[in-house]
Amino acid sequence: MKNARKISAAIGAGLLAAAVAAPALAAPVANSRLMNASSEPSNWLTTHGNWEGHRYSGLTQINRGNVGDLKLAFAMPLKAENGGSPGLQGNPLVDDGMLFMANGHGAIYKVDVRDGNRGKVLWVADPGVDPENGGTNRGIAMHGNTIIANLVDGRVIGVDRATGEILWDEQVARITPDWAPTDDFYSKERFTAAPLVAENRVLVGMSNGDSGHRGWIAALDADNGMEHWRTYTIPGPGEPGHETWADDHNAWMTGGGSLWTTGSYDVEMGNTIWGTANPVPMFDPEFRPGDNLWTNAALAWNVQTGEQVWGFQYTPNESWDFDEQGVHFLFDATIGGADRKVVAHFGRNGFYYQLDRETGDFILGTQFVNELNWTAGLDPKTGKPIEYDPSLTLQTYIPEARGFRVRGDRANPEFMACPTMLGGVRWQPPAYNPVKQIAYVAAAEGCTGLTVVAEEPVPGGGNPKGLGQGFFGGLFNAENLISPAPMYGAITAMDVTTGKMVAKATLTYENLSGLIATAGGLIFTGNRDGSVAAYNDETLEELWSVNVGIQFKAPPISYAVGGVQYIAIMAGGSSGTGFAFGQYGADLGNNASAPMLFVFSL
Amino acid sequence: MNRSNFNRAVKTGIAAWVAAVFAVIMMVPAASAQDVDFGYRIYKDKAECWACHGWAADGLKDDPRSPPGPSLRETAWDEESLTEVIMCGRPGALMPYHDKFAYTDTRCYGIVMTDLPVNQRPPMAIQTLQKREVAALVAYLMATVVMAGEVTLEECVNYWGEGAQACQRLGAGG
Repeated sequence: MKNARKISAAIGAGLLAAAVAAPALAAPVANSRLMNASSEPSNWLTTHGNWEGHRYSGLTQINRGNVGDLKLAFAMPLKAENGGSPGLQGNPLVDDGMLFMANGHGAIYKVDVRDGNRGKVLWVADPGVDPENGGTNRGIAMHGNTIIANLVDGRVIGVDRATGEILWDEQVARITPDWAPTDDFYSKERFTAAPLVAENRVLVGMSNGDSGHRGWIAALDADNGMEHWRTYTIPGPGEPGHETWADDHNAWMTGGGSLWTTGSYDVEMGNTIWGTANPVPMFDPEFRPGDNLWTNAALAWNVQTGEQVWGFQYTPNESWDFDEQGVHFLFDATIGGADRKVVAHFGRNGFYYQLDRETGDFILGTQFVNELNWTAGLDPKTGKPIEYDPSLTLQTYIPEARGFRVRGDRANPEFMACPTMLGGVRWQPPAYNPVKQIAYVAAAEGCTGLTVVAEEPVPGGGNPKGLGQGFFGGLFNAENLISPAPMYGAITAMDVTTGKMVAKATLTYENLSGLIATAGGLIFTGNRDGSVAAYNDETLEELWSVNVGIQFKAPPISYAVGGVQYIAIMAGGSSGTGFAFGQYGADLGNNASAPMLFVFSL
Repeated sequence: MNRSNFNRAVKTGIAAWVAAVFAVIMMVPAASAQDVDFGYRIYKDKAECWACHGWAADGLKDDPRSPPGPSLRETAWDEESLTEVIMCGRPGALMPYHDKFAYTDTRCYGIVMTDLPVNQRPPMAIQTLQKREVAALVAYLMATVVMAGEVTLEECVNYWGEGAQACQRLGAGG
């Protein structure tokens, strides 16, 4: 297996030389190109770089020897709607010197980057999202001659990539399902994760479970947006697993398990694999006794039928917002002498997991964060937390770190949980180097103070805070992000053949950007303080950085055109202050935000 | 009750009845309050229709640098014609088109741009709009402006908010 991989890497390097010399023509992005995306290192065709979710660039022009000379090639702003600056958490796509990206409200930009000294905007396709929807965008997809986007207002659109005209526009989310108790039950469904195109299907995952919605994934026809199937992550009445919602007020209807981050596609099995988010309300497990399937799980669905092929739940009856929405990436490896087909995941709960991607069976798990106090570890056979007891409807785990409505004689006591409620890992994507067989993650480290606030159920089911309102069942206290364990960040490298840590680098700030790995022996990320940085991919020593003063919440990519390799990254997003960022005070708290694209080259 | 008050009461009653019937007819298909609100924000913030037509669409432009746009309050516009004029503009006039791809094919009046003499070609709006935005804008215009008669203080306060200077000429305090 390893030899085969080395040979294919060598072929890749040969192709790379050819590609840099003479870029391929901008052929339509057919299924076959997406399937072989790694063989086109000059282009970045799908959100995670390939269906396997590797975020690996085969380009070598920028390498350890010269990365110190990396310089800004050009930059360009994106429009902030109505003066706001919504979250830019996605990366551009590039095909033959044409770069496509979306701002937070889903306005798509086509930029001619062939010149290398300037990004020339050829068109902007503004889908007219009402800014009242807020906005977070984690990327777009390519199919044929269209750019496909899913929008925060629940629409999915196909845009002609030659002209920027919107060819089809379908309202896919916010359609009240049959079982919902009221007409506008699903009023705040939205999309944040980039769509994934495979086998001429557009796979879209509903985000925003935290407002009392039940997660689902849908497959649309990539040519016209017509829906083929839609499957919920939480089993409905009569479906296997429904009994894991053991309450008397239909908590499953508002139970979360949404999809915030684009999954991967296993072309051999025909399955798409995504991670699901937390149960809702997130901090109050007594509202929703039971394991709460399939929240905090890896799920595999057949892309043709929508049938759930397997599921693996990481943390049953969870209560820390340790959702497992993050990227699930695929590779083959020899582990313990056996050839395994693997799906891997860096958890928000602090563990790195490898599962069998054909069955969902647990292979191995390793703690990758420094601080972790909610469990003593994973059962080496089942992969479940050691304290997990399937006969209980309310898990205790390590009680000192677990949210209960009453502890001793105190109601709603505050407690300290590690890792932080920001993880571990949320949307920020990891990277995988298939040649070195090392997986990388950039994440948050530290602990969070939490308090349970019991939610009063609505008889028959519903969101007690009102339709579409946040529904948390507790509080987190920003001050407690400082004391006693300050939040910070780290990059961690894991050897996937052993599940052992190879290297770890501490970052001053928690990382919200994510990574790419390159064949130049490097990994790249953007940091909260506005720095873009490159690291040695074996030692994690920082080799280069430049500070542009805008916080990064989006991952970098690499592409090549005209014989030159570039690193591109979008900056900006919600402002420097706000959610859980108070701990930085005057250090970063006064930084303004601006939606920007930065592109670097030698 | 004196006669003039009586007449006023009757007129008000009839007007209310007519408005109610009119509203029922116009509400098919129903434009939601959400659409009307979205349309208001497009009129005011995105497309800036007020620059030429005035905030009340009464033809009193609110931007001295803009050309005057006609009042929309005195013509019995229907949704279809409003939509067409917003999407396609008005050849020979300064009303811009808001469909970015108008006149690139024959979607507007069956013509492309080169079919028009240079001095008859409408300009492209600075902010083009999608169909759904135009639908919301039309819903707003139909609900608040078209055949709405004299501009009222209530309308002004609805548009600008309480205490706005713009409403003083209509009798607002402050």
